[in-house]
Amino acid sequence: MTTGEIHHLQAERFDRLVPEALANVELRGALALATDKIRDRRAAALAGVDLQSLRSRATDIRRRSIERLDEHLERFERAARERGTRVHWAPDAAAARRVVLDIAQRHEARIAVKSKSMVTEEIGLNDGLIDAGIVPIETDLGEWILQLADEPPSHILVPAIHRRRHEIRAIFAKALGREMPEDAESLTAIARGELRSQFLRADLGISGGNFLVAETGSILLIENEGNIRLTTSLPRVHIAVVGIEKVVPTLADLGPLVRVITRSGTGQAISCYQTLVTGPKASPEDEGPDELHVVLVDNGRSGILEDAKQSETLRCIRCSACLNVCPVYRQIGGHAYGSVYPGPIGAILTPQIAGPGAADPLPHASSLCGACREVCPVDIDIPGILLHLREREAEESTSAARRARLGFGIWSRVMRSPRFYGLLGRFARASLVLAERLPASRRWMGPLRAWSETRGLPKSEGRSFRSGGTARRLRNEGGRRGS
Amino acid sequence: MKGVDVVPDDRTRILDRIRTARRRAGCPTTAHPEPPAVAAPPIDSLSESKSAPDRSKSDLIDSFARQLESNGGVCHRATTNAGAVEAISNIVRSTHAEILCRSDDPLVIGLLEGVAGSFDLLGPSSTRDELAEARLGITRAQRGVAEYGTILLASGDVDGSIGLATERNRLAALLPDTHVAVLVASDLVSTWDEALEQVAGRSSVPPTVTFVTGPSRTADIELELVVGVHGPRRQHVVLLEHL
Repeated sequence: MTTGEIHHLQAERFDRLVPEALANVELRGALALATDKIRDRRAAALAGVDLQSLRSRATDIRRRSIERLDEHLERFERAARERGTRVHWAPDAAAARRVVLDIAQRHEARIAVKSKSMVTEEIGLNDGLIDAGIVPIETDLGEWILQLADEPPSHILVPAIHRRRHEIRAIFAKALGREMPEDAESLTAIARGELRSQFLRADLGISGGNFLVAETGSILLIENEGNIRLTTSLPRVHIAVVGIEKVVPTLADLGPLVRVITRSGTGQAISCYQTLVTGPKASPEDEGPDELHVVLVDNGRSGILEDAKQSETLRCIRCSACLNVCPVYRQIGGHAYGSVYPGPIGAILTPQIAGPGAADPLPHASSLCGACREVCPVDIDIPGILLHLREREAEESTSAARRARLGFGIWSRVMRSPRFYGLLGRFARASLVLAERLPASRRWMGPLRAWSETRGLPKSEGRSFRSGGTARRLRNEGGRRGS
Repeated sequence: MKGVDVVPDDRTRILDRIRTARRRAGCPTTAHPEPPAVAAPPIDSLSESKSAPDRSKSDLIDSFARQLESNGGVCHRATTNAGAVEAISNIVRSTHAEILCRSDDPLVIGLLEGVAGSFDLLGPSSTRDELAEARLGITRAQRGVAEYGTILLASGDVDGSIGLATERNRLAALLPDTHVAVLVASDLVSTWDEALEQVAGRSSVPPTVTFVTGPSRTADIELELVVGVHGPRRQHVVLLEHL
C-alpha cells in the first residue's frame, strides 16, 4: 500500500503542541467564539429542511463515487479532454508540484493568484512555487491574512479562525506599513483593494476543486467571496488541483451536495457563488482562460480504498462540520494537530495519507463522543475509523505499541487475581491518603498528575469495598442462589 | 489530438492502484437505496403542497423576489419595458456610477438606450483595465432560481461553436462594485437543479456556468458577516414579469 506525504507534517509533536495551545488564552477565546457561532448557524440552516433525506442522498452519491472511482476518473478524463481541458495524473505530492511548475514555467509565469485549496497545502505547492521564483498570492481573505502573518491555516473553512480581530488588524498594519481601521468591514475593504490589482496582473490562476463531474468533464467551485471567480476568469491559464476522491458521477449529483455542503459548513442555505467550469473558452473573443488544466492528485488516497471501512474517509466533502462540534478541536484548535487537516477528519485522514509512524498520536485525539459522526453529511463513521487506526497502530512494533501491550498485560494479570487486586487497592488507598496529607507527593503520580491538576482527588474510605457489609451480603446472597 | 498532456505511466499507476485496492477491499458495503431517478422536490420549497412543475409563474416570481432580498440582493419588479428602464435608471443614480459596462445582450442594450444620465458606457470589447474602472455592470441572467433568489449566468461560447451561443457577461458581472442582472420571468425555474439541467443537461454544457446568490460575503474575521469582498458588493435583479 503506497502512502503519500503531507507538507510540514508535525503530528508526532502532538503531545507537546497541545499544552501550548491550551495555554494560549487568545486562541481559546477565538475558538470558542467562532465555533459557537458556526454551530448556531448550522442548526438554523438545517431547521426547515428534511435533513435525513438530504443526508441520505449526499451519502449515497459519495458512496457511489468512491465505489467505482477508477471508472469515474477515466470517464472524467475523456469528457474533459473532449472540451479541451488538459488532464494530468499525479501519483504523489512531488509529481503534482512538478506538473504545476512545468505549466507555470512554460508560460513564464511570475505571479500566480490562488484560491483556497486544502490539497495545494497538503502538497506544499506554495513553497514549490516560491523556490522556482514564482510568487503565489492567496486571495481567500482568511488565507491572505495568514500569508501576511506567515502562518498555516488552522481550520478547513475559516483559516484564520484562531485570530482575533485586533490581531488581524496588527497583521495588516505590519504588512502594509500603515495605520489600519478597527472594524471587520473596513479591513475587508482594504483587502479587496490590495488584491484587486493582483488579480489583474496575475499570469496564472490556481484553484482547488470542490467536485469533478465525470459525465461532463466539469469542475465545480463553491465560494462566498468571489475570489475564485476572479482567479479563474482573469489570468490566461487556470490550473485546478484536485484530489482524486472529489469526482462524482453526474451533473444531477451536484444539487444535493451543493445544498448540504454550506448548510453543514457555514450554516448558509446556499453559498454566494457556484461556478461550473467545463473546458477553456470556446473562442478567442470570449472572456476567460486560454488554457485549463486539471491535476488529479493521488498522494495516498488510492491506498485508503483497500479497506472498505476506511474508504468512507474518501467521501469527505470538506464541509468542516465535524471540526465545529469536536470537543477536542474546540479546545486546542487546528495547529496543535500539526497537520493541514485538523479536527476529526484530520485525525483519520492524516494518518491514512501519511502512513504509520507519521501521525500516530492523532487517532488518540478523541474521546470517541461521536458528535462528528452525528453531524457528518455523508455519514463517515469517524469514531469507528479512529478505533480501526488505533488497532492498526497497536499491532505494530513501535515502542509506544510495545509499552501499551506491556501495560495491558500487567492490568489483565492484576484483574484476574483477587490477591493482586486487593494489594493494588491497598496501595491506591494509601497513596490517596498520602496525596491528601502531603500535596507535594503528587509530583510522583506520574501520568495521573495532569489528571489531578484540575480535579479534586477522591477521598479514601480507609478500607476496601470488598471488606465491608454490603459486599459480604452480596456474596452471601450469591451463595444462596447458587449457580 | 486535443488535450493530450499526460505521462502514461502516472495515469496507469494511479488507476492500477485503485483497481488493486478495490479488489482487496472485496464487495462494496451495504447498499443504500437508490435515489429516485426524477429530481426530488425542492428541499426547502416554500409551498410544500405544490410540486415543482405545478408552480405558477406568479408563485415563482414572489418566491424569487423574497428569497433574493433575504439573501442580501435587491429585486426590482417591472411589468413593462418602461418600468424596467426606470428601475435601471434608479439604480444607476443611486450608485452615482460614472462608468458603466454592459454585456452584448440585445435586451440589455435596448433597455439601456432608454436610461438617461451622464455616464460612460463600456461594451464587452473594452480592455480588462478599462472594465476594471467601471462601477456598475449590467448583463442578462439566463435563468432565475425561485428557491434561493439565485441567478444563473452562462458564458464562454460567444460563437455557439459548442452549443447555444452565450452572452459576453463574465467580467461585467464580476468586476464592478454593483451588478445589475436583467431577468425575464419566463426564465424562472423552481430549483437549482432544474436551472442547471436546463442550461447544461441537454447537449453540451457552456464553458462557464455561474450561480450567483446575492452580493459577495465573508465571515473570515471572527465569524462576523461582512457583505462585499472580491465579487460585487451590491446585487440587483431587474425582473421583467411581462416577458
